[in-house]
Amino acid sequence: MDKVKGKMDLLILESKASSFDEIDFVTDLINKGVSKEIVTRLQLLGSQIKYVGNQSIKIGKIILMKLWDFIKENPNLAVGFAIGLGLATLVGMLISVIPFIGVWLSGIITPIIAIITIPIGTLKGHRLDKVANGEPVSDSILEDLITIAKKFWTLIVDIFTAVKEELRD
Amino acid sequence: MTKLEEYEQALRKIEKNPNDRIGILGKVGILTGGVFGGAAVATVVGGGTIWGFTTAASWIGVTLVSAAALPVVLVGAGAGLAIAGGVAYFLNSGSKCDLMTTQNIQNLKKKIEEEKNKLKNSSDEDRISKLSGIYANLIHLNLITEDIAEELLQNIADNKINFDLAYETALELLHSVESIKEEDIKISEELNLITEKLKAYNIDTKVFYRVSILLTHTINVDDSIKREELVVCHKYFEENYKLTQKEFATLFVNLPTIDSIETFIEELFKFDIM
Repeated sequence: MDKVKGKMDLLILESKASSFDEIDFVTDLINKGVSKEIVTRLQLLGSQIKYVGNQSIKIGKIILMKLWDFIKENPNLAVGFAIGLGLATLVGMLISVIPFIGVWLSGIITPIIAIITIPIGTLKGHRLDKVANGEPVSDSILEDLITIAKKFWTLIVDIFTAVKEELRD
Repeated sequence: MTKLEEYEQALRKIEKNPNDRIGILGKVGILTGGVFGGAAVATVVGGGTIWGFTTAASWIGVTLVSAAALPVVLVGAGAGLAIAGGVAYFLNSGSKCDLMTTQNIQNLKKKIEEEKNKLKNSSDEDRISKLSGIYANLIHLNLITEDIAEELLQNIADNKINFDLAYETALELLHSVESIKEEDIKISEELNLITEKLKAYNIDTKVFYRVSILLTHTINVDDSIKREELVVCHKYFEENYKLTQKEFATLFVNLPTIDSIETFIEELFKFDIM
């Protein structure tokens, strides 16, 4: 994705994030059984802002908004699992491509994942990576789920990657 | 589940224990971070409390069991530091999260209020919409004018007129039209005769139907005057002589008892209005 398209897509996400109803997000997660300690820390994540030029980007809200989409698109996943899987996959994808966001995110998200205690194996051992490296792959539902999550986050990661040089605090 | 029920359920869950339990752990200083910290917090968040443990060691012992079952591994340099730092952040963010919880409670209460108002307004809107439909029928039957209907609806919306009274009155008026219709069908032969007589006096025959409704609502019809034999063309007088409903009713009441349309018309001619 080139920088101009990335910026355009980011602005579109930003305008959607402006109308993101945080209380509906909170209500949905609480009613699904997520503890309020997790929910409030996700909300803290949602308050993070970065800048592209003079335009503030609600990067945290964008991530929350997309995370909620992931939860809604996978109703058969336990919500805690969906949150942990979704966020862990995103962090894994960002941390090497955009350490600037990746490390910041992992600092917030890792404890969330730890609290939810999701059995996520190393991303290094992920099936796709294994196949790419010519390694034998096992028949793992977890790896399939990681594939789903990776596909889900690909667009967001591509957008962040395209504009990474312009993103600043 | 409706939106209102969802908000109320979420509020009940949050208000049950509004304090941030992880923050409490941080303050107590039991946890220092790392996977142990994460799993310990998991125990708390999962429903256990620190109050059930007499020593930190035993508490850590329990969490170790939880941690062993479900490890978290993240690839990347600094992941270990991130975990440790992250958990410390987690523990120290308790007060921020307490504030967030308070805001969530306030926002949920606002949302609940908004939903309740929406429900109330939509039920009010349904009723006003039904009443508007009845008024449209009454306008079509020339029983009320558009201006009157509009004024009534505005006053109802401003709570100056009681909705229930306005609705019942409108329904009564509409039903009285229907009841008269039935009677008109029964006496069609007599009405035909009356119509012929009215034509002789060049009075619009369409209006006698409307006027008979007025008779039932505005004045007491003398028994000697049979409603079906007496056509009081209020509409005719309203259009041609600018008489209001009240004025016409007054005119009619002041007329002597008459037993035929001919007599009535003759009496009317005695007034300067003809």
